[in-house]
Amino acid sequence: MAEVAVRTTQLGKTYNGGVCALHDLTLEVESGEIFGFLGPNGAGKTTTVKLLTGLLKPSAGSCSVFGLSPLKKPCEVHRLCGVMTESAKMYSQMTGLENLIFFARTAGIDAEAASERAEELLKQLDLWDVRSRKLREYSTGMAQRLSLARTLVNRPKILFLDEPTSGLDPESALAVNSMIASLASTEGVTVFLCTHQLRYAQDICERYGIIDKGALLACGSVEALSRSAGLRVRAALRLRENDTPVDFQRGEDGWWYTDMLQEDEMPALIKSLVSAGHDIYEARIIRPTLEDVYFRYIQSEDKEALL
Amino acid sequence: MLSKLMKYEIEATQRIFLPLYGLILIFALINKVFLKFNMNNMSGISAVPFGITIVVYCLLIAALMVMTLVVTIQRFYKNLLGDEGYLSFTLPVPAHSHIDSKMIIALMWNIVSLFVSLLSVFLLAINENNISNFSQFCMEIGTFFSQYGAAAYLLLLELIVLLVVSVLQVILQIYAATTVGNLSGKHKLLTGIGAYIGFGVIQQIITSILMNFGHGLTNNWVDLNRFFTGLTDLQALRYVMWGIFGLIVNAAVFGAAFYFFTNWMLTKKLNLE
Repeated sequence: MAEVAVRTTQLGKTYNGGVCALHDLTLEVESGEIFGFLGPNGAGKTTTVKLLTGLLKPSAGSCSVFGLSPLKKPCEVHRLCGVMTESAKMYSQMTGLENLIFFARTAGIDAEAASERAEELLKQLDLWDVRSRKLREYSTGMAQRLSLARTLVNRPKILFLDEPTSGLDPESALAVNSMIASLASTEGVTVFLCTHQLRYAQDICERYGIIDKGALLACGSVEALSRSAGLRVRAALRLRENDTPVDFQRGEDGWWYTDMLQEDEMPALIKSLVSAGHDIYEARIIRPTLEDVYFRYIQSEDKEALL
Repeated sequence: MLSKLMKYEIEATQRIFLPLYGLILIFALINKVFLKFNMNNMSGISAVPFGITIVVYCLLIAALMVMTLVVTIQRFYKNLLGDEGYLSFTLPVPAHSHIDSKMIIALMWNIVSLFVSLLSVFLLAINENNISNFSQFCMEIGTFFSQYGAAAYLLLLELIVLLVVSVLQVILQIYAATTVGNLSGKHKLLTGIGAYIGFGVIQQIITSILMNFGHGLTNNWVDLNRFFTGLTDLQALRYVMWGIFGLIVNAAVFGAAFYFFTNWMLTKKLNLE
């Protein structure tokens, strides 16, 4: 059985003034997994990260990181994790290199190793040329990448990343994503990724949690979430003009679509159409995307029925 | 770890204090030059430059006092409870290390600010007329030390310790009040000020109760004055030293209470919203 990296049990947080940011969150993330925590702004993603990293005290329930309580053993938790929240600001009066060396040294890394690690990360994240500039001279994207570098400086076992690609151009965002995916696959780093950029999340995450208004709506892989949401795999076919197959709907692009219970039905479907005299020029399986799943849950009026 | 945090604190604050210290000393010297060459002749328009520089000098002294307080509060709040809080509290260091580093560096700047202010006044005030008085004063201090020996050195040590402990107690009281203020959703500043005043009131009440208990031994201040009158200088000095020791203990006990309260708040009641 895989080690559990993150466990929450009926975790909740109500801020002063009675604002309930999170309620009854129960989930588990396995070690080495890239878990996407998705939701619109104000859904409770950042609150969850802050609870897991001990920056907030829960109003209800409990949570642990590799079996350690962020409340009772915050230092031990912080040794294991790298945290990047949306307000990715470091110390503005220090240069990029000084910032990384400072955080490496306070993480217990010796001076020489800290310099080497800082250099390695700055080069990986294309910040080496600006290493001597004060942080206040960095652009948003550069500051974001430096913050990611800080998160990685102590080689953490788990990363809590809150909108890591926010403010990055597409090329940088892809580079960051590749880096995260590589960390998980080669070094077994667990990633708890909070984002509403579904395209990037789908590229790297294995399982997802969808949260809205402080409540976890669904949790699982895209396939599992699709089944729960009633989304099906579809067959898409391009036929001869004026050809009209039975039980298919024509799309605006001229293709013909039909739902399937599972992908295994495709060969039989194609055979039956060919047998019926239809000429098939192209055939595709269209699987529900993360975006389809996400919006089905978020926009559904009857979310209870989907759980 | 503490040394790294302290080094960062110094780097973050020296760019505020060092230029201010430089300006104060420069304006003290400028005013000194004005006083040396123009004292008897300044009137009307010729007094304007001196008037400006002396006002600037006074404003700089006032600014230094205000900035020392503001920086003490602001560094604690911003770095631990504000925007940079998540950076600080995701470091693998215990909360008390953050308190220790800020407290020590705040103490350093408070004492250096006091020293720079006194030095600037000395530079401004010293001249040929009063340097002999100053020399006489130094000689009398020397006589005091040679007359009372170890007791005098102990008194000096006590005064230094009292200064340090008193400043630390005030700093820690500010930190404790700031953590209380942070618990409030919308009125953090007002709550913090209220907490600071509240802590001060509690401290005064407890100190008054203890002092009244001590006075009970001699019944009233008149008896106390009569008591001292009947003592030799050395005996009086020793009682003064005991009194200062009592002040040190008072400041140390309350300082420790504020320290542990602040640490408890940052470990058990941390809420970085």
